[in-house]
Amino acid sequence: MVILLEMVKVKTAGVRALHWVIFLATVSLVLTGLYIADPFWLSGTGEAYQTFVMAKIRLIHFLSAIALDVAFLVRLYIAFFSLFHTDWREVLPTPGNLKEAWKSFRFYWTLEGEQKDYRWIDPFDGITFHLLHLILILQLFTGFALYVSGIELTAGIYGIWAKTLHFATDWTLVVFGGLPGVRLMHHFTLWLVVSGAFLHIYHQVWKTIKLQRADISAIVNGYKLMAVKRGK
Amino acid sequence: MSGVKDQVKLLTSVDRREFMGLCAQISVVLGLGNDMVPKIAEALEAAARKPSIIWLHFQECTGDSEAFLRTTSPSVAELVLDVLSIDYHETIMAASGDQAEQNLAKAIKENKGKYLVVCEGAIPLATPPGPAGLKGGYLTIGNKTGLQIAEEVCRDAAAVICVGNCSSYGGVQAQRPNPTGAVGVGEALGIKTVNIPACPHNPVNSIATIVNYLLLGTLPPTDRFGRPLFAYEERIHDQCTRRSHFDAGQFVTEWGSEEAKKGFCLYKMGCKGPQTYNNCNKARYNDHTGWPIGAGHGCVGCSEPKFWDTMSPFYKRLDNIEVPFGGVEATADKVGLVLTGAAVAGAAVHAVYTFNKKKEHEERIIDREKKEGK
Ligand code: SF4
Repeated sequence: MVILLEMVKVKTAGVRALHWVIFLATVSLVLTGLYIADPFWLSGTGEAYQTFVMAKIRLIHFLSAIALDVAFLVRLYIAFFSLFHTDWREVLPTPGNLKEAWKSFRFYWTLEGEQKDYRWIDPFDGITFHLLHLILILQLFTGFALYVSGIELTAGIYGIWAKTLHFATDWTLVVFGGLPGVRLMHHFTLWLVVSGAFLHIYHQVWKTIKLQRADISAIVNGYKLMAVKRGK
Repeated sequence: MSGVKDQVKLLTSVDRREFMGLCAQISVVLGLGNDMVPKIAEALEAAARKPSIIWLHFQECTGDSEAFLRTTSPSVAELVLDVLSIDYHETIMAASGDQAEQNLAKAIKENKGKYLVVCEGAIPLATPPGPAGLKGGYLTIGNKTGLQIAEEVCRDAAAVICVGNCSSYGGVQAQRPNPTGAVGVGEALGIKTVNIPACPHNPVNSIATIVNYLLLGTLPPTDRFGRPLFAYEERIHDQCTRRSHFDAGQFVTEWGSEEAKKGFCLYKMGCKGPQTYNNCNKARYNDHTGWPIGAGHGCVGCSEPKFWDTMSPFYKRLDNIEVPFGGVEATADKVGLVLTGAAVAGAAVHAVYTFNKKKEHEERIIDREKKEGK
């Protein structure tokens, strides 16, 4: 039996583009978020009417948030209805997935046993993506709760938008103890995003080097290597 | 004839002008137009419907009474005698002792189901230690606990209005660890109250609430914390006079500095305006002349429930987060940085370990490939 490594397509251009949109938006959100929490590295000069620093940075924050949320929703849609490959099952923490993920985890720390070759999202990644997405969803809800806190229930279409957001996010005020609590949670979750993103990047680099399956190229050009068994 | 004379007298007197001034302010606070001012005046003057008001004091500093009595338009006398009928108010009534208690009983009996109760101060629910310990015994007036008094008086009231943060949500007495078990009146009695929080509350808001009741026969619509929407729908931050400096990124970083003199935004000095709902800038204190941020002090969020716990430290941006284990209070940033540090350290350990084992691993792969006959 011969083991051949073959280039296989795993990610469509759309999925890759969405990944990088989410990446850019996250970077922008973290940077602008840190600034909004403590405006330390820029301040307006001259008269108030001549500068608009804080407002602009907040605008970038909001736009990035909307870009991230929309990208997230589109990705969710693709996960269920992609014509190329639907991958929603792979990020669910089902018992089967958890078992496989645990095997990978052990392998990562002991290098004993063998790492199976996965074409699609491997179970370990699946679990981490699941957690990362939960963090992002928490960030989405607390963020919109803060955003809509300054918007009164006005009439018209804008009022519908405000009402929808209030309806969707007011529970965070109850859970985290009012706006101060929500703000703290939003700020703290930023660090969860940062550490989570770091671990994700490390993990992908490590896999690429260690398993020699060109994992990182999957998110760049859409292809990775797969061991394919060809008869005798 | 005398009616006309009276009217002329009213119209030309300074008091009358002040009174109309009050009506105009109330109209503004309630978001009504100029046309409503005479209606408000009428409602206030309709003696037959002048509400009997019982003002109760619990755990508090009398700051809300002070604020109420500090209004000069209308004056105290007008407020107490003409505008409202305040039948019981421990601080300002002439009666004392048994006589005072009789007044209270009389007011309740005569206006059963029609009087308004204004509460000031929190109600303690904890039981003091010792043999004579009584539930709520940290506050007793005339041998009755605050809780008993509140229950007795509020039972037959048309409505209960809580002024100040203490009666609304417990105030400073309810701050952790809350030794007397202080809670707001609504929570203590399990009833719905209209809350006019702040420390102290702005009298225009409480009078406006009463006027709303007189004009329409109903209490104003409130938010989920029982605060009338006419006053508490907007955040301090969204009506702040320093907002342009916030948007411009111009912040005070030191008290007494050049920036402070220029009136820059107090965000970095711990202003809680972005988390606080109240109409301070529109209604203003001290005869509508000033308010904290106008005077150069950041908002401390005194109209929010539990503001002593959630808004402090007052002079810092909110950064405290409570870590559930061990009761340590750390800053969110610190916890976050430690987490991120742990992630980096974990990755480093993993990298060192696995890449040192690289050889072993590669050998194994070569072995395997040999076995498989490559
Ligand atoms: S002073 Fe406070 S309320 Fe006013 S703009 Fe600055 S942060 Fe907002």
